[in-house]
Amino acid sequence: MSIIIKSLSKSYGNNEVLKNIELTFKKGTISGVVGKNGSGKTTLFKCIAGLEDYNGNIGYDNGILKNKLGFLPTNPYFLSKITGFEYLQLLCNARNINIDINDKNLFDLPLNQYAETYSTGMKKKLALTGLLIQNNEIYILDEPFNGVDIQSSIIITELLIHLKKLNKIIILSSHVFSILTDTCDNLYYLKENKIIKTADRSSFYTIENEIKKDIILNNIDKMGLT
Amino acid sequence: MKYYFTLQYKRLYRRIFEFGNGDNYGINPFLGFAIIVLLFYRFSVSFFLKIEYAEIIYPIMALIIIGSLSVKDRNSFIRDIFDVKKNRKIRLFENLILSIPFSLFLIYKQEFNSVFIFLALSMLISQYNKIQISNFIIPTPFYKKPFEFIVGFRKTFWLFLIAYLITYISISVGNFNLGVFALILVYLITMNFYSTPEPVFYIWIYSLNSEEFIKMKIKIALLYSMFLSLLITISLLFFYFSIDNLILIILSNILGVAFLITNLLIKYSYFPSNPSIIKAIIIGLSIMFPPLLLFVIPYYKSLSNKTLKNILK
Repeated sequence: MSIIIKSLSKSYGNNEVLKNIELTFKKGTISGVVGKNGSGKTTLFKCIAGLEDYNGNIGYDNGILKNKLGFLPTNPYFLSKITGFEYLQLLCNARNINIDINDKNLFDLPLNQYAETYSTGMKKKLALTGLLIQNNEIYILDEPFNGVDIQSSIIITELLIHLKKLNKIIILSSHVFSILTDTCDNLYYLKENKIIKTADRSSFYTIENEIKKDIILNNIDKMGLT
Repeated sequence: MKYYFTLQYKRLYRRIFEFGNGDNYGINPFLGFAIIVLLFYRFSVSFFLKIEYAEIIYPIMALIIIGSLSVKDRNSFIRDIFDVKKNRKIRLFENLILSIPFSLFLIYKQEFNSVFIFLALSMLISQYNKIQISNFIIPTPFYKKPFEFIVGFRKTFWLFLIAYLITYISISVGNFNLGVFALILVYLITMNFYSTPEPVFYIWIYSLNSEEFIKMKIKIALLYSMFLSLLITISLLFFYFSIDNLILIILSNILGVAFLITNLLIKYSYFPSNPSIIKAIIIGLSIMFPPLLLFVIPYYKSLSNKTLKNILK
């Protein structure tokens, strides 16, 4: 069970966001995609999820990818006047799942309140609960730790490890490098539309060094401090 | 402060331009302004013609519209960026600007007392900016199949109460046509549930192909809209039973459902765009000549299938 991406390119008009991306995501692994804001991480995730058109090929060897994939956007959007419970019910209906939703309230969310009134962290937790209820094979999590409290961060980290044990494919992004080094098996550095570096656990430091060199040092140099 | 109002003007200009969905169906904003003025005039004239005590109800209605500017969330933004004095001035100007068209029409109707009271109240409510949108969870019977009817019902439940009240009045005064109007009103309200496209995520989540998805959406629309109109249908049949009335009630239900489905199909045919002008033309022509729906529905069913294939691969 794996996702194989070949020659993936994506442009918005003349603006090329992804260029010739080649990646493989295997079952039972957690893969992290790093890159600065606007480097194309979210676009890459949306292409894999089938939420964006693209050139190239994204293959999955265990059925229709879209129907087995859960996508957590950076800022999940909730329809107005919909309670947390109704949102989860909608996600269950979408995949023909019959379960007792209240039993699956992992983060103790106030499911009878309107989802639009939730805090940033609560919205993220609700969206994540929805993906877990769907029992997906693939999880794409765009900044899953953004805005969540410490307790929930611990739960999410444990959850990622549990999903890995269940042989799921997990792809995530985070701007906190330590979160990625703690959870991921592989890291991919996305820069200037391309994957410029790949690393496994033994060589994560090479990507960290590259990021420091590219983002921090270059930008500080530009300041021309004397 | 001047820049704030310039920005508000730009926002309005862009909103009118995007009314027909920007680049694809965009309309000239100045033409849009002219249409708005014309529609406002037509609405006001017929309001005074058809409504009793219009000189009282018209300014009250205008104050409700102006009061929408007093919503807490909107005003906390203005309060955060301007000092107290400027904040008061801005709110006063906003309310006065919005009062102008209503005041002009009241002057045209020579309702000078109404104008005076209306302007005074409009200025007064500009200083009250704490209206909060209620988070009270309105129960709905549609929880098993979110989302259009849950969202729509919670936003417009008071309109259904009005439709049921009209039915009651129709029975009390023995006016069958009024009851049929209430029935049509229910379908008009439910049509509105399908007026704005949802974010693509809410289509993408389904593990259905485009044809199955459209069928499911139609099924929900049929089931729930007929549920909402059932009380009126049964009441009218019970109190006004005759073959002619039965035919008219059945016909009203069929047409109501047909227009609802047309609206739904048009929404998905142009997804994610929202071509309000095209929709208005199609619906308008079909109202004038309902047999047109026999062609419109299959055409848009096929078009919506084709459009959604990109998302529901």
